[in-house]
Amino acid sequence: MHELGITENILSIALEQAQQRGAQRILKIRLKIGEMTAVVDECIRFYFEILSKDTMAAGAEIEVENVPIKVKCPKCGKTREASDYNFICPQCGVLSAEIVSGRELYVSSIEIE
Amino acid sequence: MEIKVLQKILEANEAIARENARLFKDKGVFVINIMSSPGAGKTSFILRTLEKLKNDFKVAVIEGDIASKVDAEKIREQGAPAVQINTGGACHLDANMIKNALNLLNLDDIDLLIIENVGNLVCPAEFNLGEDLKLMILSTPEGDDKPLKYPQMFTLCSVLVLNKIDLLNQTNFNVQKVRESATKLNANLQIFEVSCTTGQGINTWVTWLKNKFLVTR
Repeated sequence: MHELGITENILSIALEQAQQRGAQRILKIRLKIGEMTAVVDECIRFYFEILSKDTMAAGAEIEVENVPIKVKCPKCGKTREASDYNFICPQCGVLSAEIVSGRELYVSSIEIE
Repeated sequence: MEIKVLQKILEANEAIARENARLFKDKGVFVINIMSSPGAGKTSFILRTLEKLKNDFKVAVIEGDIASKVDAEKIREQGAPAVQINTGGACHLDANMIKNALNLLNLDDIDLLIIENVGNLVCPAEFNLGEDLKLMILSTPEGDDKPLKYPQMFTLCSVLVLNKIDLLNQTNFNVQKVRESATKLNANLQIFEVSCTTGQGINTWVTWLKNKFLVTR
């Protein structure tokens, strides 16, 4: 349900950027969302449709790039995907892992006209 | 025309959280953000902690709930200042709600500020408040599969409190299994086993907290 607050932020970031460039309309918003954030794309699209209704972002397409969870072993330095949340290094058995990606939550670009 | 933005979606919240953190540091206030599912025992845990700390420390509480004032009233009965935030539907507290609530507290007169987040194991994880410590409570009747189901929360918190440990023999909750699965997600997690009903384990937790407070401050 935190998608509502998140979508409000997406819309205001996009509107601000578009206004600064004197855009008439926002056609597309590209997002980067890490797997770990538990943010559901479909919910964002749903809230976005409602929130953007009377703005220049109405009808804009939301394109989401999902970023998988990647961890780095502090011992051997190997980076690998860990979408199963198994953070133990298969090589050295070290428990702690540095989370390299999967927590992203940002607007990467917008398309305007 | 495509425009590169590269802006964090929650940057507005992060900026206010940093502001809050600076203020807390200036005033020497240690801040704990407590998160759990509804009914895990956040308020009872705060009351137990207050009971042990209130003679040595000045503690205040911010209570976050979707509606009602019942939790803040329970805290005030214990003699601690409490501010109730009603989120009116929002499933988590954000940094701005905390900033506004601070207008109702005198930070010069507080050593420790405890924030009780809205009962929810997903959403509060994304919203930093400016706290020093993120703590989560998991109670035994909820089941021992929670680290597998809500991994994000376990990776973000530095303290895990296993509450209702007195009910252990009435549930199939396996403490060892939780310790293992939680530690796999977060090797530095501090784990405490407590019962807010019997008081078991509360002293161990409070002693740890006092040390943490003294070191940080």
